[in-house]
Amino acid sequence: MKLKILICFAGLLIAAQLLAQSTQLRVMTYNLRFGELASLEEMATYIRSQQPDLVALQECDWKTTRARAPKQAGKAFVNELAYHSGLFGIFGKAINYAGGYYGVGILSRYPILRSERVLLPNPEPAKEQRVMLIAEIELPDHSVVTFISTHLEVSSDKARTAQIEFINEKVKELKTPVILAGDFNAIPSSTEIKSGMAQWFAATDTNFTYASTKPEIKIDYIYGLPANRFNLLETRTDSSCMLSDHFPVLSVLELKKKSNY
Amino acid sequence: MKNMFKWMIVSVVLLTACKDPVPDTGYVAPDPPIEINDRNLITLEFYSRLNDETLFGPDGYQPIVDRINTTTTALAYFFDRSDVLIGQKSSVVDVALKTKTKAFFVQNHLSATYAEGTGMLVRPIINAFDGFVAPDTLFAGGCTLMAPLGQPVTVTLMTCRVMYKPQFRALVNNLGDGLKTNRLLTGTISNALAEEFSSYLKYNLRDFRLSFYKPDAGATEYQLFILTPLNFVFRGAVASTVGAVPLYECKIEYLR
Repeated sequence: MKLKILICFAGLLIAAQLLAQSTQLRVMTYNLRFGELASLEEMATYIRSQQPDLVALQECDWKTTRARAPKQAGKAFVNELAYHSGLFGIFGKAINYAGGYYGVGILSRYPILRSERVLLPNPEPAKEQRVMLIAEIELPDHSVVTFISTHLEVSSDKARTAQIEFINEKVKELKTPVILAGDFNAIPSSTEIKSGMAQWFAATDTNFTYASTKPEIKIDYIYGLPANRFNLLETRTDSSCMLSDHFPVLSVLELKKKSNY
Repeated sequence: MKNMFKWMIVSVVLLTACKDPVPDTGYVAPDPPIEINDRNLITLEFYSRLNDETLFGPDGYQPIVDRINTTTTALAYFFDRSDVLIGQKSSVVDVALKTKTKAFFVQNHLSATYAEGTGMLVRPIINAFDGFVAPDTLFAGGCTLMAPLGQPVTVTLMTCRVMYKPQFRALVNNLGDGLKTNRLLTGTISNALAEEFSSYLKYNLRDFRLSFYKPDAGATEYQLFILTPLNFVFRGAVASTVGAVPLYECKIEYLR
């Protein structure tokens, strides 16, 4: 009997130790389609309901006036979504557009230590400037994770390949674990994803993410690096969410402490 | 002869030892010009209670929103102790939303449920928010932006709160040569540490100006400190209140 109690106690201790050596992060990526299909309040309500720690946003406007999204005129998407979802937010401008700016964003449950918007290479025949938004985020256990939101070129695989190569080079400079999320405009069987992202931990399933009205392809992803620091606890492409032409993707990642691998 | 030589040496040693030593006052910045060039003044609005209480009371911050939207043209706005309940709507993010500015949060302490620190708002689109961390000791954060002075000048505006002595070293180590790149640090420091902080910087940092500002009225536990490179100088602050929140409008001149 005593031995059984002792074994149970030891098991509990080991479990507690393992738990203390990892952090769980709820990570979401969501292309907003510049708010054409839903209000920012609806989007914020959805995001809040998923209780994410980190959200990568694409197709975010900053004070634009678009004919196709008149209700969003003059709105700073990231500010609106950050406030209504109870998160911190930053915006990364890609281009000037319709009297304002258009780009990507990051929402974070925890304050952002540093952030940087980096221009991605844009070789011909790429249509427009693309960016990656990098944020270093301090977690409650005082460890730091780097979170990147990006939206790659839509019309050229050559440009996407160059952009992925650039991202892979850029992350070599980072000293923290990295989570990269966004709209890659590339399907899982493409060379960009298959070989370009080979070193990363793939943290999503293969369900289609686009288009929400007629899902046919997967182009939205979440990745982690170094691959051996991550475990995937759960992932979901929410095909019931029709607030954009993309489905939101949410993954629950276990980020293992360095000593654990 | 031998004795005489010995006495000469003793005399020289004694004379040298008795000579008044040159007092070592540490680094002293050269005096700035007396005349102020208004065209080169940067205004920073620093909202702070200069104590350990949170900034926004039940009266909220609508008067501040109105001021930012209608009256003021400050380069940046700082909200000392605009603490955040993690996962809840944050006051500084709300001010940013209502004023269409960009928000950044510089935390002093972070737990799973609470972030204590200073919110910062700026108007222009920012490419990078910058910061440096000394684990468990200090986080100073801010951003680089163009100051619309007589000629446009790039400045990095940063803030932090100095509450313990170990932060002195962390600050100096992390600043490195940072001040040379037009880095302006405006923050709060405990009154009890101000003199020691000044002295520490004099012996551990060069080419800087350090100023303090303490309002005349009311007892406070903290004061403002303004740390700049030599090509900037703090020209004073104006104390007022916006709604029920104390504001210190700080003027910093660019000296070229």
